[in-house]
Amino acid sequence: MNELRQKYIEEVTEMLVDMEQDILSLDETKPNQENLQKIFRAMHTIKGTSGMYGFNEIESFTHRLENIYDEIIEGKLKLNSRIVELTLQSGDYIRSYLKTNGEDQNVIRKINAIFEELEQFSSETQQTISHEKNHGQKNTRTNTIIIDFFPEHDLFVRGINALSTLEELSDLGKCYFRFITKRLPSLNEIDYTLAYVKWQIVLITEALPDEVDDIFLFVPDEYKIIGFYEQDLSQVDEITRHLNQHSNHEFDMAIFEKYAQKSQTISFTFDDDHTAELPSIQQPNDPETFNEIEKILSENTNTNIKVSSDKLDDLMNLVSQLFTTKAELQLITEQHPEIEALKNIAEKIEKLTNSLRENALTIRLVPINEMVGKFKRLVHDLTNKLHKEIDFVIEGGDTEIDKSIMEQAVGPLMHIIRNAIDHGIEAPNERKAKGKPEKGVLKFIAFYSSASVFIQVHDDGKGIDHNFIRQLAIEKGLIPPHTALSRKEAYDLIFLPGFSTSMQVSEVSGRGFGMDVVKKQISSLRGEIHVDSEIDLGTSITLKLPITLSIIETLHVRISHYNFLIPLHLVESSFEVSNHFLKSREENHISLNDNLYPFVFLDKHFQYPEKPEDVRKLVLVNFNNEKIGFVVDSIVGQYQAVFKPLGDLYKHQTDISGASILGDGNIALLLDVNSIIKAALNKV
Amino acid sequence: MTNNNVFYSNTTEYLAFRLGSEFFAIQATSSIEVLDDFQIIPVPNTVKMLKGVVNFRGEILSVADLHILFNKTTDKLSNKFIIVCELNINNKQNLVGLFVDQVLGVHEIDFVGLEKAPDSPNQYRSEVIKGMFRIENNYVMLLDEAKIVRNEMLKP
Repeated sequence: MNELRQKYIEEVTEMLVDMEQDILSLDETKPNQENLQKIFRAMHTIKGTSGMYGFNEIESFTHRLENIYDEIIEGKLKLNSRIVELTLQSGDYIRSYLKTNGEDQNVIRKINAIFEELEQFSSETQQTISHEKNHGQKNTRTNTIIIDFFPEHDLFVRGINALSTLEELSDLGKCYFRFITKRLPSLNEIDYTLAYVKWQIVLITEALPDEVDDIFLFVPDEYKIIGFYEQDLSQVDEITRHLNQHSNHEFDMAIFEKYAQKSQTISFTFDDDHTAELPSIQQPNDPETFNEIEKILSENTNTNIKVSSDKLDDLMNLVSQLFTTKAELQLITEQHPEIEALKNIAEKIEKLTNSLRENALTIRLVPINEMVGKFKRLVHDLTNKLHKEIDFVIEGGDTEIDKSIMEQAVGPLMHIIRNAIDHGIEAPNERKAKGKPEKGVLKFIAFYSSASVFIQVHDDGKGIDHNFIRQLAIEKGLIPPHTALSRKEAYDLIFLPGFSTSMQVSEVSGRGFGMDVVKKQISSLRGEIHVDSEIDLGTSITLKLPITLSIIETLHVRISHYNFLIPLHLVESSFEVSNHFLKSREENHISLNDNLYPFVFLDKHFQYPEKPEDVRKLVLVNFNNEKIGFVVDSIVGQYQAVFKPLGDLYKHQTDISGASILGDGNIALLLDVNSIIKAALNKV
Repeated sequence: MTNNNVFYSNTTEYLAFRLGSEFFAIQATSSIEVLDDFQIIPVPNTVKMLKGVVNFRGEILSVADLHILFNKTTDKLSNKFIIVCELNINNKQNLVGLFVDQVLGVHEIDFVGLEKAPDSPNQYRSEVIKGMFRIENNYVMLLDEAKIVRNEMLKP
């Protein structure tokens, strides 16, 4: 049950995120019907599932919202900013309600307050409706919909209340029910936990079949619309008689067919035992209706499948095993050039494996748009709170990135956006005084470049003066006075712990602790962050993130007899040096390009025996601006490594962060540059 | 009831192996494969009993050296083996390779014939051995899979 509940909470949270995005993209003056429908449906679904799990407050609350959106869709109620605000707040409180398991009285009180305010909207509507009715403005058509509802035996076990479904149906219009007991076994065979009966319902309504579909959302395979006529057939005497008969037999479809005006109907073929294929649709004379149906059908096919990440990990594992096996095959093929057939097959397998791997890697990728909703919400809330006017522009939202990277980048990006709105973009009057448009522009741009995704947050606010940063850093004692800094170096100071460019503490973005944390988090994703700014033109912060974490570009080096990998993005440069010369350096420092760098003999660091040859390679690595030279025996070259963890037994290991299997089947260890630098600098 | 051999209810299959001059065994069901051709890559800065990692079907497999735990020295003579097995470490199943001198094969043991192992001053030994039995003239020590590798041994 707990697992189900967890799933439910996950689902609701996801739906809320989508809903928020739909709401924020609504233009209040001319709301987009499609988005309204989506919001309506999200509310409907949340209502249904919440009821199932006993979250009654959410159920009645979303029911109210659902009604409101229903009225908006039908044009009975006008969307206004207060409703948008309340809907957004609702989302927040539903989340906190679920988080606190419905036990936090504060949250419930807030929910009730919103509920009451929403009630008001609805009662206003009631008046407008009756008003409209007086004027006789009624132009919707009445339809007759015939529905078969044939629940599976385990309906109750799944926690679905058939009666409330029927009740909801009767809300749509006038219902005639037939209660069919054909499946009912004899009394002594009845298991009271199972559902045996089925229903047939004739619904006289203004609603369309898709509204019926919404009601049967939780039992999609256990109902079927077997007839749909765009007229009120209950007006026909003979049908009325038939409808009012008390019987436990199904309705006689022939009667409906007889009186229905064929030319206007889309009728579904009816199959007696419900096991038949999808209802076939006769092409109606009216092409527009047909297009509508076609649209609904095509919408349904465009779905996503939710897969647990464990399964994806398994798939990735198998693919990388296959990749290694492929390399073995290549090796054997090279050893036997005389077998022509082997060569052909090896080539085919290589191609297939490569595309399989590329394909498997993209499964984990999701478009950046998925996280943009959170930012839209943040911008919306902050602009209101700070009384600023901001146009939030998103470009490249379809750029894809590994889901786990995206999730970890959300926090830092929220921080960056918060900063941009709080400290970057000025208040409207200040902007006006500077001759800028009153409405600021905040741009969120994502794009690919080789194996990286760049995300740029650009504001057209007041900008940051690099001289000012330098000055501030000197005052705070972060750098010695008279330090000469390039522009880029000055901006990099922002990422030092405790550095703040804002003079006062603000409620929104705090005291300037943060950019160092942002940088740390981005670095842990093997990403980079850069700032550029121009006074009064604005600031842009650029994140460079790897597309995926499972493949790392590395520099393959050898130490003693073993293979090691250094993440390539940390490598600055490499030099050939003599071991003898290095040993003569004092305190393990070497001067390169007029800079003095510490260095560490990795063979000694790992307690490997020293190689007799004198020629060594020095790889200069840069981690968070700590530069240090790693002395290795030789450099093999660049290698695109499939990352594998070392496993639980090595969790106390610090210098190695993982491993990868090379083409020849050998294992190469991935150096944890950060921890080696720390260990080495303490020793040096 | 003419043939007593049809009753196996008290017997379990064990995989026996040799460390130095002594014989040990683990439950056959927890072992997955025996490797005789492998290359162990040592991982620097780890506890001595972790011998390194090997490429096992494209995965990284950690190898524990039982010689260290039992204070044995490996002989220089024989071809070495790794028993790939599932061990319970900290209530989690882990795939681990055990580095041994020789694998002797699977034996069926009747629990009735299981004897108590002699007390030992070596604490690890007395904890991990749950009994011993005899194969021909040799005693074989039965190991408790859940205790072979424990969390506290992994800390440097």
